[in-house]
Amino acid sequence: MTPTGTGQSISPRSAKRRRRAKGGVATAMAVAILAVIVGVALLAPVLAPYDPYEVDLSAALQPPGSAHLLGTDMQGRDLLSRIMYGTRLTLLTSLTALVSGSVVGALLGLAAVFFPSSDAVIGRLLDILLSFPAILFGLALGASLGPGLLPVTIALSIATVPEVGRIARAAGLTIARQEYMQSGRAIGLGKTTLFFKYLAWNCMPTIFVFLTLRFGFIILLGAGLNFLGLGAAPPAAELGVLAAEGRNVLAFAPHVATYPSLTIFLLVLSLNVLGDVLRDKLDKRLL
Amino acid sequence: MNSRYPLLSVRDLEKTFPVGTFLRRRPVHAVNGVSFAIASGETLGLVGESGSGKSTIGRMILNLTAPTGGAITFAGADIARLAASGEIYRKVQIIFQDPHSSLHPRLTVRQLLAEPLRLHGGKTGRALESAVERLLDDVGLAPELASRYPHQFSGGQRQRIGIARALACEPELIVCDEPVSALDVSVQAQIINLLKDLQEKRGLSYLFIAHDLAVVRHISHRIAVLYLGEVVESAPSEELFSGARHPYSQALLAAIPRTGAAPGKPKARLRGEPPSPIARPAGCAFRARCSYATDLCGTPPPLRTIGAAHLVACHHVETIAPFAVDRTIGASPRLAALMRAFAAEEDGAST
Repeated sequence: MTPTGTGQSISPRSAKRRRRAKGGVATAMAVAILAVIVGVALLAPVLAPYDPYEVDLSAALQPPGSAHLLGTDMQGRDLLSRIMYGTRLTLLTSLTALVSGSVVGALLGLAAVFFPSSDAVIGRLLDILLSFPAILFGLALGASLGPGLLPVTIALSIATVPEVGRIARAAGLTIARQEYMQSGRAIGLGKTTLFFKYLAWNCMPTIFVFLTLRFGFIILLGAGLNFLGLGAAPPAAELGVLAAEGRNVLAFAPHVATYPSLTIFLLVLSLNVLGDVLRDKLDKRLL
Repeated sequence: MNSRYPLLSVRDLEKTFPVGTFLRRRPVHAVNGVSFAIASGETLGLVGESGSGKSTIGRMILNLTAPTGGAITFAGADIARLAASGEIYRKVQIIFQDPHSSLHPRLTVRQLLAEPLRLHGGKTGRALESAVERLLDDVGLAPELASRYPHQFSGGQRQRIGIARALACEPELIVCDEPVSALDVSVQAQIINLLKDLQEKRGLSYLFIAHDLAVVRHISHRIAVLYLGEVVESAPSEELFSGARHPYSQALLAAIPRTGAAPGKPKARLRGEPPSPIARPAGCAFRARCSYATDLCGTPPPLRTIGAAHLVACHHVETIAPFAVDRTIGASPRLAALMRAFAAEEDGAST
């Protein structure tokens, strides 16, 4: 028998190029900003010009200048160094929360699809979680465990679970209808393989895009909880804490609150832009 | 294998799905007392409108859906028992309708084929690789294509990959669930030729599910016509086309589009819609749309033998004249010509 056809790619290249050119600038900027922020946060111990905890009361509340690029806070600590370390802490807590929460959420959502008898129970559980504001979880955990990064991380993680669970369930329902799920069953694959290799793997893009969009929100929420004093205790550098510290001196030393807030703003904005781009890419592939 | 048993035997198969709200739950009879048998090396065509239960029957034979009544036996062994022991996967396989959704999109062709080979053949390494190449060759694809992903192929090529994946389990029976209805006519011809070739070489049996009589005529030895989950007529392929007796089969044959001068006689045209399987009429399900219907049709018609291997479920068989389509109609001349052309080309290429 003769081989037929060449198996040529059928993706519309020109449409792809057009779309890329349109959103190109925003995407490039978002990626660049993210790379800078994440890179600086990772390399904070190397890059930071001062020790972020070194108090120098004689240099308190200095405006941005050559000695201190972004100025100093009330205790004369270098703001740039504190922001570098603060970004580190913020990224660490929100990323930990996002990963742990989304693993639990995705497993719950996909289990609801894979074992239809569990759908009602898991669905209600996610609804209940969804009905509590994350701030409330943070307050309750802060009250029972005492303020610290752990309760904030747990609260953020719980806030991630139901949203990701619902997205995973919706994505799972679409995938479960595809004939390749039946095809996997027809050749006799085990339940574990079907669940992870067939169902979960094909839901990953949708969940991943949602997580990118969700990451910004989680950072914002985490900074909010820290701002309220539920998270890191004041000497520690965390973006929300830094913004809270600057609030008291906002009238005469606005830079103390402005620069940490600006960092949060840029971080969240570029994550959202990136999430939008990824979602568009995914949509196109699904069409 | 014991030759006293047909390869596949389906008796009084039933499938009901619950529908409606919690308090007013009623069953839908998707499949209602279907019986048929498939001999080794035989192709049985299963024809019916959408909603007639044909795909459900296919799924039940593979144990993808559990029947609510009746029995399915494979070479004398109950299908549920074969499923429990895992033997079913090496006996019955399926080719799906939509080649765009029946292949895991993130696996390469090699991985798609390696999955069943590893699972059932225990093949690894070099032996696995050569088995993949052999399978690709069997379905007419070049071995170089093994490292590509499904989305890089056309519909026909994907259907070939689907066939290769089914073959990898070395089944004796393949349920073809409308395998060509998503393809265009020239590709249909290639796939049907391929299926016929494979049947000859490997002694496969097929349950060929379709709604297109022309396609079924080209591949089936026998045809069973399904209406609302019941077999209304079953006959050897040519006999059905030369002497259909059930009014519904006649209407289906009359509905085949024809080309050329002779306009079709308007007799036996279908009126109305098939009744909802929820509010199933008592007696003959076709009664409301049938021009021969009388009060007698209020009782369910039994499936009667009216010739060698020709069964009809109609009270008025004796009074209904056999309906014949002329030789070309339903044979789809274009499909036949394409099949001949492709077959000749393949012979030429292999010599």
